[in-house]
Amino acid sequence: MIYLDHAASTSINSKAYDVLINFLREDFANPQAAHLPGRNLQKKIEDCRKYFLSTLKADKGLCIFTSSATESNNMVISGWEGKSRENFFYSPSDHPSITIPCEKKKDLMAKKIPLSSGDIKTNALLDSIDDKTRLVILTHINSVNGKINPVFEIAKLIKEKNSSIWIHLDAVQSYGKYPVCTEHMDSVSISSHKIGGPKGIAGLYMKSHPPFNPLLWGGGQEKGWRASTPATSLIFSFTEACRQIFKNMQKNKDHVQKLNEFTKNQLERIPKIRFPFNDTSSYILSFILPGISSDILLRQLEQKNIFLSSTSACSSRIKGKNPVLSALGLEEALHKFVLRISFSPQNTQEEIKIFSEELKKLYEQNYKIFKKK
Amino acid sequence: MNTLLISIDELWLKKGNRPIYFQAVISHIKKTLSKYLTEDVFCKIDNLRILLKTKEKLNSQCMESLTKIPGIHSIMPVKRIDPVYRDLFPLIEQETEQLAGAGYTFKVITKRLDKKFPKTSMEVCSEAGAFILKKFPSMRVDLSDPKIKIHIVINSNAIYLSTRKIPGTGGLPWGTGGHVITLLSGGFDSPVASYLMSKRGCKQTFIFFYSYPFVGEEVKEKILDLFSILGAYQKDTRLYVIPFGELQKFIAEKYNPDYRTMLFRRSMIECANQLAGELAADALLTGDSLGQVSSQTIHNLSLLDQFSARPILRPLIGFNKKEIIKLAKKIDTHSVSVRPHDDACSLFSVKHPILRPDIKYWNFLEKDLHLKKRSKQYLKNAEVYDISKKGETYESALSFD
Repeated sequence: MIYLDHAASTSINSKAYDVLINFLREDFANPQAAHLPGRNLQKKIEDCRKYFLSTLKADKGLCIFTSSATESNNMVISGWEGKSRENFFYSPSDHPSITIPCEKKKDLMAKKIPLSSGDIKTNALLDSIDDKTRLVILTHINSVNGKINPVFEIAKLIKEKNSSIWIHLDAVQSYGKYPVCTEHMDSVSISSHKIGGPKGIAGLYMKSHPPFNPLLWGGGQEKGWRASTPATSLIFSFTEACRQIFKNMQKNKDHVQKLNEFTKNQLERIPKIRFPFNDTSSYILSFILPGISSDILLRQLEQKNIFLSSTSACSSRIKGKNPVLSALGLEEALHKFVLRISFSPQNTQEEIKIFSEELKKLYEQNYKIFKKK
Repeated sequence: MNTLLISIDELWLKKGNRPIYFQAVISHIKKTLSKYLTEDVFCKIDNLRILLKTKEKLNSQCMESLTKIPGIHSIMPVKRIDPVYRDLFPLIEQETEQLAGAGYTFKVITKRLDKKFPKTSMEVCSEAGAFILKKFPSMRVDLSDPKIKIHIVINSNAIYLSTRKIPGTGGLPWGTGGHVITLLSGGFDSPVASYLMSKRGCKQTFIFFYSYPFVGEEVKEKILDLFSILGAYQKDTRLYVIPFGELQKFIAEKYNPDYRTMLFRRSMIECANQLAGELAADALLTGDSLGQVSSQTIHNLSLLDQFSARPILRPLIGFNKKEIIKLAKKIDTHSVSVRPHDDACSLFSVKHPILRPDIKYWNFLEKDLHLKKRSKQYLKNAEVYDISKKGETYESALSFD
């Protein structure tokens, strides 16, 4: 199997897996319990919390564990109680776990971050922010095209204009891969299964007491921020995955960067290929093969045990406009031809060679067949 | 005890074969109800109707499934008494009371099957009507469009009363119309064609040509949903999903693009004929409507017929699209057919598909494609689906082999 969809999810790190199994078997007590096994577990969770703060280089604040980055993002947005005429900003190119709750938000006026071909128009954003702005949501690396946004500079400028604005950062595609600076950020969402941890666990960092409410009320777990018995084995496994990835962050980045360049080189042998996006993460490479629906290519590659992704799960007939691609500046006619590869440090050049040769062959065969006379 | 009186359709056409038709319907009824009931039902032929009795309650799902049995004209849930005329009136009062309302209109319809009965149908209607008016003075008679219809059926051994007559699918009993192989697609037409031939008593085995990887799984899911709906009109049925993408790719790469669609159709017909041969089916069934698309010109249809070992039934040949859509809505296939999906035919289509094929080239294609051999292989690799007692489709453990 050649798996090139690591931005969606990646295999669990072997050490993280060992930790998961070990703790599932042995540490079954409830961390809320008053007895010794419970208290020991709670202490371990607190140690994990401290560790996550250190990975974010945060000298203050709190990291809580959620079930997913979607939950973390939803907590910030849906948990926010807005007042009349207050507003907040988000980007239409963000992940649906941000855009959907933002669109549904009624008690805060949603405003869109101005974009130009997918780039944040910083000056226009700063001009739009006013004294009623309460929250700005930024995404560090876009999951669809890998675009790296200058979020840290933008956050600094926003804080200079109005330090009371809460800035939430979606660092799901960058955490563990690129440095994440929390200096001007008030909250950060991160995900386990993007970095070799198990699914079902994620994190939300909060620098200070946030102005939003928990989504789950009840037993007061997670310092009152998320009622629900903590998923201890998932937390510990997530922590171990983090340790492994941070230990090798630079080495991984170098490897993936070389792989990305190699992939581009290989793919450029396909004459009609286009790489429409610049300033992107080495971990994500999106490209266009015009004229052939990406879904067909995906299925044909699947038959060869090669897995990547397109930007839409829909069929080519119903695949029309993808709002995220539109927001990223791609014309609608090209949306159904976009493919995305995302790498892990475990991918090899040999895999890329096989993949790119197969893709070239399939594309050329399809192009001949479907080119209308 | 629940009792139904079931009328059979088109009986007047089938004098000599009536016992066969009755038995076919009874067998279908019993199989259908076995999905819902734990005990056997009692069925007997009573004066050219089927009398069905069951101890268990027949819920709305049961009743709906009975209405889909081809050959059934109508179904009446009835109350039965011995043929004593004066006993009819308390029963009328009891049944009408449950439905009566101020200002409601009603009509009495009497069928007197026992010609020796001392009252005529008109007399029964008149006396029953007068009785109802006396008992329920707020009601009134409406002979053209009443809210309540009181049905009285008088046999030599019983009187039946019903306040509900449920229309059935009609037509001929399952199996009496022969066995056809139905070429099913995800569009509007072929499901409607299937329904029409179910009504004519055709046993159907379905075949679907799956163009993966050129189309996705959602197409197959549509077909399974359509199969489930159409299977409700069948006593016994099966779906064969044939892997077709590879052949389409081969045809598209090797031959004149203008002939693609026709070659696909030809390949499907050949494969369906092979399946028909294995299953001893008598004909093929398609949803063709004359002139709707390029492969449905009279020349193209004629060519396909020439190379088919069996007749190709096309019940929609004279239908307009609007008429087909209307029927699709009636049989609930519309909501499935309308779901968007990749359409392999339009994916492979060209600007100028052939409307009148060149026979010389066509004969060459016939020889070159080796369709008989290919079809055997595709049938071997087919996925086979049945419908469970609960009406869910599932992949059969059986293979074509």
